[in-house]
Amino acid sequence: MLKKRIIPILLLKGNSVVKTVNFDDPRMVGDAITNVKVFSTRKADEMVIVDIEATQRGSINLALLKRLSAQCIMPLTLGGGIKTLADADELFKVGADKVVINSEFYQRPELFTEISEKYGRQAVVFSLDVMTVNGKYQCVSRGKTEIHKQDIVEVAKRAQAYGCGEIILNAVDLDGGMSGYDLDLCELITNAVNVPVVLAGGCGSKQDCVKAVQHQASAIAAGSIFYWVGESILTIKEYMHEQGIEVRLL
Amino acid sequence: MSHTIAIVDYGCGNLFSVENAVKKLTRSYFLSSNPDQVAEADKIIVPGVGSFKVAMDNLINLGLKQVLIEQGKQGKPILGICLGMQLLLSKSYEHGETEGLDLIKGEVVPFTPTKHCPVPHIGWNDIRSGEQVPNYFSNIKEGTSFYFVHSFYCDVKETLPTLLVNYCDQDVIIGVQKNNINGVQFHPEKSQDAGIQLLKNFLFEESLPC
Repeated sequence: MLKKRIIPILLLKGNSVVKTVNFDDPRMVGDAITNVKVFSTRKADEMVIVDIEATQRGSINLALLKRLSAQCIMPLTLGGGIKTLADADELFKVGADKVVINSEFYQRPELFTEISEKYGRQAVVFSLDVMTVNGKYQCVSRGKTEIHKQDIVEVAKRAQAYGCGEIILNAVDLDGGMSGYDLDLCELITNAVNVPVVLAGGCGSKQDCVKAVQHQASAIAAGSIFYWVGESILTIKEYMHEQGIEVRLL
Repeated sequence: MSHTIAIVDYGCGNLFSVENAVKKLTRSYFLSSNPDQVAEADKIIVPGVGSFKVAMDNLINLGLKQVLIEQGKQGKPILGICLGMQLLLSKSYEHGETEGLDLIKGEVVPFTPTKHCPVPHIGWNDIRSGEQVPNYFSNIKEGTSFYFVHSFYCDVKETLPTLLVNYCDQDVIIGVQKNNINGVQFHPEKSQDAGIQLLKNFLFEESLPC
């Protein structure tokens, strides 16, 4: 049976990995190479690495990403400031299996089609970043500086129609808070699309991971829980397994 | 005995990852898109990420299609990974209908998504063998998980040693061996220790008589 995946998300700032709260206040949690090595030895199911300075800098740190991907015999999703097919080409060249895109989708959704025609739709991941504004879910991009009017369900369906093969669903308000995932949001989106959904934002305990998959997430992404709580991928997986969830045990 | 391995570069590969994994096992490999060089290698790896049609067009334009067919028929060990496995078959229905290398009879067809079975098939899934096990899997435990990421699968029309996975309520062939021709739908180069073992089996196994 297909396993539920546990995916650390690493945000890069310079050569460091940082952790944000509500997409703000990046706090340094360690050196990038060391972090990647640790997650690789602890057998994460996949890794997502995003260069959060790429948009500002106007270029992505390819040299570093290449060094990082050489460290891991494991699936890798890379992203940060992707605007063109050529940007995506560069990331596939340094070892990406998938590329993750947020902001540019709202400018030019055809980018998803271009990448999926060349690399297959399984290689295109949409980061759907959602914030609650006046009690209503809204899509955000460029960090959270741009708020989009469209209904989030319509946006998710549109992303799928344009060729994305997976969605990382990120609850910005819960990011870094470790108070649990937004399970309603998860069901709302998983019911609307038929691509896998990776739930992110708010993971604070092993129980949260179990709830996420019970609410239809194909995979769970997390950051803080690994840095601040002392849970490891192995302890989370053991717990999920005890709860009857199919995970890859080692 | 050390073999020279060609990793075929036809513009559609996850070359870096395949090279990264092969490098851990041998120094005796090269990347090439040159048909003459590829023909001279002892073994050939055909990686692949992307769409079937683009891949076949590239193989044809680079003069690699003919070489792979000839070498395959002459008994040279070939390992197709992911799209590389699909290319070994007769044809694919991805973005229209495209002819493949036809080294193994069969067609590449899409999964049909259902509510509990999102497509693409992404993630780790456990593998069991068909009635006969491909040689490259002989020392790997039944039920070992490998990493998958694909929307199309191989409907193999010959009776051969195979590997299977269950997805979308069906048993799908995701590994095959026809004498010297080998294919895996999953990504050994991404599948940590088990993946490295599988590559090792392919790289260091003595060539089978055809």
